[in-house]
Amino acid sequence: MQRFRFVLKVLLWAAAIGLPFWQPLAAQDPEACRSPQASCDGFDRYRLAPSNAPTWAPQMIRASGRPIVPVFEGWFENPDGTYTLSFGYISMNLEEALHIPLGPDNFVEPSEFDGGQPTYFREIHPSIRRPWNSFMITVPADFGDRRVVWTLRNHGETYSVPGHITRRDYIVETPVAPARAATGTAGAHAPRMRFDPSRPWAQGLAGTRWGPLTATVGQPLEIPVYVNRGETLNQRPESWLWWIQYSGPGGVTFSEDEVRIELDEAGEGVGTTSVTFTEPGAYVLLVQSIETLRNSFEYHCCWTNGWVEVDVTN
Amino acid sequence: MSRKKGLRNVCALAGAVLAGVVALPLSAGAQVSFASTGDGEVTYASDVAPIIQENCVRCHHPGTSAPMALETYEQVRRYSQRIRTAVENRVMPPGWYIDRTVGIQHFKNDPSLSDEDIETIVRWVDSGAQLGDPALLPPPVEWRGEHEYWQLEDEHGWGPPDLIITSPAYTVPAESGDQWYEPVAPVQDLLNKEITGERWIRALETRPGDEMSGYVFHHVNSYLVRAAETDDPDLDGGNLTDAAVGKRIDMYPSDSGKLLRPDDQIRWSLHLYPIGEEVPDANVQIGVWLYPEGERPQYATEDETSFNSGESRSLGLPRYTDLLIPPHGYQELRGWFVLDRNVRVHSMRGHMHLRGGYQMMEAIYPDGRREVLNKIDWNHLWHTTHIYEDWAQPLLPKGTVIIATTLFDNTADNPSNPDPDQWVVYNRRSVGEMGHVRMGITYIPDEDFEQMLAERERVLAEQERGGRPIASR
Repeated sequence: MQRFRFVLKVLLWAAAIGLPFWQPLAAQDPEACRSPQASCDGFDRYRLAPSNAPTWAPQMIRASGRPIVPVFEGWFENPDGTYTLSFGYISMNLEEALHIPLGPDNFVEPSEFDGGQPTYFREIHPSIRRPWNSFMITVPADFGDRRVVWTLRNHGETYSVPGHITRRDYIVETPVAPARAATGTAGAHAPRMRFDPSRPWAQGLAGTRWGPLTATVGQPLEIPVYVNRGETLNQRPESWLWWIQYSGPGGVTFSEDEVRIELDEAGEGVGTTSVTFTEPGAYVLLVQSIETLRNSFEYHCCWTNGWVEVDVTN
Repeated sequence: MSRKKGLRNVCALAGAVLAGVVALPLSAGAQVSFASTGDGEVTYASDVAPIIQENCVRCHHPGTSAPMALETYEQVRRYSQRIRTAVENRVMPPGWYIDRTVGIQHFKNDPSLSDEDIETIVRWVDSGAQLGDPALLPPPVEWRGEHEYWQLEDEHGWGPPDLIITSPAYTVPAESGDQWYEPVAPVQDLLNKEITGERWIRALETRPGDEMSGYVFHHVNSYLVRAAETDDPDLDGGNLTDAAVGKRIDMYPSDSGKLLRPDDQIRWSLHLYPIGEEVPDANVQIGVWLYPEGERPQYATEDETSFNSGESRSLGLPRYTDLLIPPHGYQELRGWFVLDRNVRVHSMRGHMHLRGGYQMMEAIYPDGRREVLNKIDWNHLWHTTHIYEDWAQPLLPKGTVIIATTLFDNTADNPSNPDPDQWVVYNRRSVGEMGHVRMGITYIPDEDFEQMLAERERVLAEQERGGRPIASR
């Protein structure tokens, strides 16, 4: 018994002395471990030791059942001193399109910015791949370091992305990319766009809204889009439109979703698309007007967004 | 907020990393000892100063972005503990992020200190950082700015360039997003002297045209556009040279070159960053080293050829433009390529953006052997081209499968990550991602390739007998 007590005392003393110097591996501070002076067993940021952080692979793309994820594209300052946060989304589905109504599966926080986001999420486009810079939120000039978070729930998972104006790296140029414009590079200017010849032109990502137009289920609705490239015409007397469904309860069919517009000598032209709806309700369509569809979206500049509201009845 | 990035930033980065090494410097007023040293002792004057001058002072001198100068004994002694830590951990000199535990380790442009040099510095610090005999100090060097010197001339002994190509100038606005300037111009309009006939290029180097230009360039790609199409695919245009932050030079093997014709045009792709103040007439210069007039090298090199991770068109896999990196997570992409001709690889360079983790190139030879050629631990400010020693250049027979692996790191552990809360997608901005590796390659005809393999076997056997490092087969 005496010996047992002695051993127990030794163990307790040893524990008391050693405890302050012991740290579990998980408690090691990765920031400190990157210091060349630190000795953190098992830590090597380039070996990327097993972690519970997710690792994804592009092979996760399938015909259906894969995630639709919101993307924060960046921000820009408006002439009145306010800022616009620009969002888009990426789908991992080659064939499946999904309706995600506003509500617990599709919401923006703070709630004052909720309600304008898309509710229809298209499949991967064969070349453009995804809608870029398609959803805008304007925040006040004194927005500071606050955040706007867009959340999508689909296929059993939740995906959120924060938008903010704190990082200059995320500035989006609009409506002109100066360096590309200096050399006449295709896609350096957002074409001007309007839906009514009597109304002023809109230009850039903040774009313009039009409607509500009215339509009948199953009956094609013709929508003309007027485009003006003016002095930016350069060598290519053409412009392009890309149409996608933005929201609405049913399906939408475009006679052409990629529309090539021949421009006249003044750089103006019109492209008309017929749109057919499968169900009654309130729809929003998005049309993006751009100099060329080839690679242009990758630069995050330059095109003009137009959101078209359509009320569809039986 | 000023964002001074660019070719100049190699020095800034080097200084920042050194400054970040946590160690207490000796106080500025520390007494300097001039005590004589005995035989066998390591002293600053005779042993350490030559190492510091050759490897450190290029950035660590007044007028650079480095946070401290290391030109004098007093300056070096003051930071001796930090220097000891930095060199012992191979944090300094910066710019070399090849994984030293796997793949080929023999390069022409590895700036790393030798083990002997590191030991010398460590011993010097540990023994009291003595000056020694001032008469033994090497003479001081007049350093020129990043825009004033040629690395191939100063560090590789190639002499001054035979030609200098100056890019069209562009005024970078003070405030804007990323800028891409993409002019096309006849090469004769951009040269410092006229060329009258076909010339073969053996090396190239890109530098900022002036001091301020160095702050705004992220990368510069240039392409040769021929005046007329050719039936010989070896002589068509294509890439001239790419430069990026931390990458200046291309050197071809001594039997290879790239054709430059007087009626060529150059198509530029200049990726620039606004830095908070206008930079007027930003431009770059490309130094060109030529083969003698009338001399044509044995092979026309393809030089840097892109191997995309995650894009293998022949297999119909998803594109690498579909990459999606989760917040606080990783993504791995792989691309597979089957070589349809024999290839000799003379260089390797990675390309990722701010969420880069690492890139690895592997070869599966037709006989089934699999080998890691190299793994590059990514640092966004060092787009170094790793140029193999002649006897270490991978020889890849036709039928070899190349696997290009890219791992993105969107965690907070990645020090260059601007926002780990974001979902990151493909695009051209630095906050978007890309993942491709450029290997400098030359196609080799069958008969020549057999001879190269035989010569490589002979070199390997010789190395083995001599107990020296074994080159790649």
